[in-house]
Amino acid sequence: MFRSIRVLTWAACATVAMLAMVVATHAQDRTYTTRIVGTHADEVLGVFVNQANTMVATCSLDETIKLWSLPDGKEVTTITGHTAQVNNLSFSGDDAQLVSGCSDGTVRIWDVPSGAPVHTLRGHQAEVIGVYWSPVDGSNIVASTSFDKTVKLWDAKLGIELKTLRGHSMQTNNVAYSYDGKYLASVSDDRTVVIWSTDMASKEPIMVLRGHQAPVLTALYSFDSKYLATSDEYGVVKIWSMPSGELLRTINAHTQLVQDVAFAEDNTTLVTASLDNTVKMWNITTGANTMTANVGVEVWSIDVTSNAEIIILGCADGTVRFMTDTASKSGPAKGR
Amino acid sequence: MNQSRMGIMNTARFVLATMLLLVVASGGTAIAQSAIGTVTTLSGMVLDQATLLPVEANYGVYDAQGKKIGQSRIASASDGYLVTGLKPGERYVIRVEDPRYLKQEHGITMPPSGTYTEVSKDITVRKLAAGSTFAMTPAPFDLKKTDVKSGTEDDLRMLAAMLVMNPSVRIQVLCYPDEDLPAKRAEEVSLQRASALKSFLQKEGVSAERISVKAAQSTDPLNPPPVRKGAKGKRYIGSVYITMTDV
Repeated sequence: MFRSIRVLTWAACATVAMLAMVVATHAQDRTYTTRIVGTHADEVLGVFVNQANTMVATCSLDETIKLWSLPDGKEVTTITGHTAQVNNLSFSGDDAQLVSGCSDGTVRIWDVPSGAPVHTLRGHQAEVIGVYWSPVDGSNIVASTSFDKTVKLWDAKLGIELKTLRGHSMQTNNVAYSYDGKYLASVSDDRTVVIWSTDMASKEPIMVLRGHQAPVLTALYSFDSKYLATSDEYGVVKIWSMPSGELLRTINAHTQLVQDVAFAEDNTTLVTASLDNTVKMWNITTGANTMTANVGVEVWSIDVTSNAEIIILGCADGTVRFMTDTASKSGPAKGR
Repeated sequence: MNQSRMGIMNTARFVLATMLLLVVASGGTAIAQSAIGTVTTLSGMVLDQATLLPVEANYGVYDAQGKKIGQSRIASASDGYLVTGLKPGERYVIRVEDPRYLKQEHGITMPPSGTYTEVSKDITVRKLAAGSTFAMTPAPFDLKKTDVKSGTEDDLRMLAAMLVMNPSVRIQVLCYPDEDLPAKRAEEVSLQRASALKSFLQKEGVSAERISVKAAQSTDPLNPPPVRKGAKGKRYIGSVYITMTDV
């Protein structure tokens, strides 16, 4: 009943928003218009754009995954099967499959675009929070993080657990591969960022990056693998030079937690989203804030197309929103 | 810890490679494949359910016909366990056979791979001692709901199967509400949740007299609701504890 009322409320709000206005956002270097393309029945926790820039996947507290077309934002399909909130997702390198992580403790592999289930991977001892498909061409390796403090690697083709990485002392929140395929970064409530080798024989961390003063929520490599961006519960974003691990910059980016960040293909533009209702764009080499947009709603998740001409937002009111650069033209595919 | 573990793995690989070389030397690749066949390896840690820390435990490995493979084995707290020579595509059962822990078994089907494959699987164990308590994670309830959450049946069936394998064990179920409520309402929610779990376990073959329920009149003092909105995934559901009252 509670959920039904909330769904109706959000649906009504979304309809009004779509019919009544296209929100122009304040911007400095770039100007975006914002529109709601659709809704989940509850908070949208994860967003991931595919390599070809033709599709974006979202996942939600409503226990579903949705696929949307790009750039028009039409809903392609809804994928069901998880039995709790779906916390994160990631496309395979060839865009043919999708991995999702859920609070039901499972990692699931799905066919795209049919949404047919391929594998349900069980092995974590608690909620699965982060998932990331290795970006190496043809790779079937998927990484996942969980409140059980581990990072696990899976073979998505065989449907088996390959190994467990232990090194964090508290729950692990997210994980990301470097695009050169050499490294894996995991972040945790223990306030550290741990870098691992993707060599399957290795189980020891390569290095531990310290500096965050709050639980670290996400990590993401730039496409050239030279930078690692991390964010925390205090709204702070840190930029690390990789593979050295040198801290390059600390940005007091937001006033609330930053759950998600996204790099544009130029490797210097970073977009951040927060529960403080804002989306911001940064030049990580200078630290300059190049765009700020107050979208009027808490934002859990974010991803961008190649040049950040479209910024996709997963919001706490259940809406999926597209922010489109008013000067946008179709760009090349996202990726390396 | 991991270096010694890697040592075991490397030794296993060395033995397999040596066997392969010996057979190849005696008659060629075709003979080698038929003589040895592709094998897979299973490894992992045995974790205490209450702490998720690695522990030592005795275990046995059984094939699909229930035949024990080799002798009983010991998983160490530092290196975990390692089972080599398993056949691709075959199903095996790892049975915890240790008086310190509840008896339990875990099935796994090795991947039907044509090449050497290493599979990882962690196993959690529960201490066999009166007063031993573990939390059920993830909690088998939806926010503000008191019926068993759809999709959590597999976890609950595993718990029921473990209790059936340990017929002398009696348990107490304690469920906390998700939010601060008046004591009477909190108690209602607590009892409704605990009773739902009891009913489920009964349907799975655990007799009612082995399960008691305890009412809570507040939220969990050890794991209280957060005071501010946390990161995603940190949506608070009241804790569910299982305590062994008699072993």
